[in-house]
Amino acid sequence: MRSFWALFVATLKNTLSLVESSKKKSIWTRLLPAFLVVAFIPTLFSFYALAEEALKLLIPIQQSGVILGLMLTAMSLMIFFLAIFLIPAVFYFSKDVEILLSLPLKAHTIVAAKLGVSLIYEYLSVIMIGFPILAAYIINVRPEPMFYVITLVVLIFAPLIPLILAGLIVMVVMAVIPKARNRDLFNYLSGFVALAFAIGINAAIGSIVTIDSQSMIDMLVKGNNSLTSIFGYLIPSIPFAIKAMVELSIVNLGITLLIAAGFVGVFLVVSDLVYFSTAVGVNETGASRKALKSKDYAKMTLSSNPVITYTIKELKIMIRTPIYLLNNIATVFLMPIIMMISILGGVGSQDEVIVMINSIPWDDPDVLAYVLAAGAAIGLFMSAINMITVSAISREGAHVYFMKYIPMSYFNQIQAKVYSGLIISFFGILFMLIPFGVLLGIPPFSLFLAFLAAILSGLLINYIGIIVDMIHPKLVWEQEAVPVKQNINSAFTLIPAMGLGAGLFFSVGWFDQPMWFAFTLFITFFILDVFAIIIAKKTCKVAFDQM
Amino acid sequence: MIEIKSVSKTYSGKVKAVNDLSLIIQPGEIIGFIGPNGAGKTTTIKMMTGILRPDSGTITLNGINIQERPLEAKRQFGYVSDNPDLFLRLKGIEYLNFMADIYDVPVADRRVRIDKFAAMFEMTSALSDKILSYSHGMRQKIILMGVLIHDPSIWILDEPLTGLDPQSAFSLKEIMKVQASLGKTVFFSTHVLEVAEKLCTKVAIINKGQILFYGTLEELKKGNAGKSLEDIFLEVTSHA
Repeated sequence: MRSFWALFVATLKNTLSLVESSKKKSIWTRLLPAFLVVAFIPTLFSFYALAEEALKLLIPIQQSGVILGLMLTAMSLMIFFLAIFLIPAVFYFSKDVEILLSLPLKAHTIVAAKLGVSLIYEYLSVIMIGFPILAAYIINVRPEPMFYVITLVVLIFAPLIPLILAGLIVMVVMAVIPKARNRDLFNYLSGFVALAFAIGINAAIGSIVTIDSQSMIDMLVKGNNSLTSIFGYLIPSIPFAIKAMVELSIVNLGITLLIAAGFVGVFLVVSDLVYFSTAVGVNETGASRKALKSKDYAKMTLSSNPVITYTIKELKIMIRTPIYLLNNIATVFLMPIIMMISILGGVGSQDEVIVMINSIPWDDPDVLAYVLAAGAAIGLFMSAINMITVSAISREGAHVYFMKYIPMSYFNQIQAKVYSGLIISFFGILFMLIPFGVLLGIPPFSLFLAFLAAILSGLLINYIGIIVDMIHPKLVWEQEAVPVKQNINSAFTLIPAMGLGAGLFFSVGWFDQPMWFAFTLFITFFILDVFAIIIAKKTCKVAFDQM
Repeated sequence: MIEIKSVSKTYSGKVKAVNDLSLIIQPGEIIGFIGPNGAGKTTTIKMMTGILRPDSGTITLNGINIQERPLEAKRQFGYVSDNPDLFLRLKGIEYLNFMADIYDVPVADRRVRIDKFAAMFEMTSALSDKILSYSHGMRQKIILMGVLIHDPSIWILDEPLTGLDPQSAFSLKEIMKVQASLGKTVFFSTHVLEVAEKLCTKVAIINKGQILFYGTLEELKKGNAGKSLEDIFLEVTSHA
């Protein structure tokens, strides 16, 4: 037990990066937990409000237990979903298995410690759903004291089953399909599924807004029954756990605990059979070790201009690094989809909005001024949100020295980095402008002018990004996520982009003639772009000498 | 030819990493740069390659001052750092072609060299895979090939033999000898005294940022008859 506890604590500290707690922390690091709490308050409150609203409908018909059933089912669903990605990260890709195997530890101790760490993760993840719903239930239903004891036990043990179920699936997949033991593939899949999940939630919330109370009751009761019956097959403890909580039944609580213990036993046996043999030798990425065909070899050894080849290198690295693909590139393409879903969700239920859009005289010069302002704002936003140039130097990390010893000027190198950002911004702008242009019925010429405005404003943000990252690069990191996800530099492009974008709309009114607005917009961005390029060139030498 | 004149470098205004260091390395020489950890080897190499700017002194490579004409100077050398984990998401062939483009290597030349060095280092079947899938030694080899592809007249290598298998280490040492015989300059840091003993025409021993000895191994052994290179090295560095 002592070795389990020591390993559990060490793994937990390592996974949660608590090992650095003794080092000097910046004010930002210290304030981060407070920021997180504040950031989650609206979400927690909205869950609470939703549960309270539902309970007001359910209490009069004596169906308040439905909300507990839904909570437990939703928590199980979320745990199962998260565990599909958490189990590979903790059990397969944490790089510690080979070290642990060389220590005098029993196989069961290692598996149990890793399972314990995963469980802690799951508790932290589902607390956001469970806490507000449970609070709403307690405040509105005022249950007996026994409820608290039973609920506490259920909530401690219930997450084990969906977690283990996901763990068993992952272990079998890893054992049967060797290609799955690939960190890059795993990161791509988990990232995209998480994004799809986020978009799905966004769409679902959009469609739930206009629901009436009777439909709400039907949905809750039916939803509870159907979800519970589905999960009753997959996670057999759920019906017993719900009965234990609603009917305060000790017998059902006992059955829930027995099922959980059974799952733990099965998990330990299965992990003995398949886990260790597959966890050792997990790959970072796929490799064929096949010689190139002469045709491919000839194609891959053609010469190219150094700036072009450097730009392509930047793009390849970004696309092939899952964390950069998701944060720097996928966001650009997903943002228009998310916005389209949100807008269409709202528009679909409000005919007046469609009528209003249809009545806009797009050929009117006054309207064109707003279209241009929108184009420039889109250019600013889509270039800032991809964070490519603002993290371009930071992403080099400890290898930034490469930039300093190759015979290519610093300016040419940063130009290549800006081009890589511009290319992605360009596609982002197109993805945003074309669907919205078609949807709103904007004439092609207006759309073209808006596109030009977007390119000019996008250029500015990309150069501001590289200047900021040259002056203040975040080069010390071990995980690829740090330069894009924990880099304050992105604020220096996002905030000005938002401010400037909003300012553009206000400034339309300052001009008597819309044409003057258009002229001023193009000239101003052109001049700003030229200035930004000059400043970037001047910053190069000084900044790189200090790196 | 490498000429380092009175070069000094201080970190954070306090730690003197290199102190008034001077060295002249003639074409055709293989120089082993030896010293304990923290002696100033990597700092010196970083200044030679333009990664760090010296506080004082000058460094010229084939007569070109790296501070005054950096791009021209950087074309003179090929540099292998002590950390081969570079561009891990590129495939081996992509990295080599990228380096060939950066150094303007004609297509015909790059193909001949890729074929030759891939066969020599047994990397032919790995070129189509990402560097991330390579072992430490394979990563070291691909970085070496990236240097060899532009056929530099000066080689600067920081611990180049670390992680290489015996066959590849042998091949690298042979290439070094061949290059030196063609009049090229090879400068490498190492902790392995036996390698320096067998390979180098001269050794430079550095400690606490200063050159303690620079000359041939015969000159080093003179007056230390019967002592091993290890004993002499320990004696020289202990008196610094």
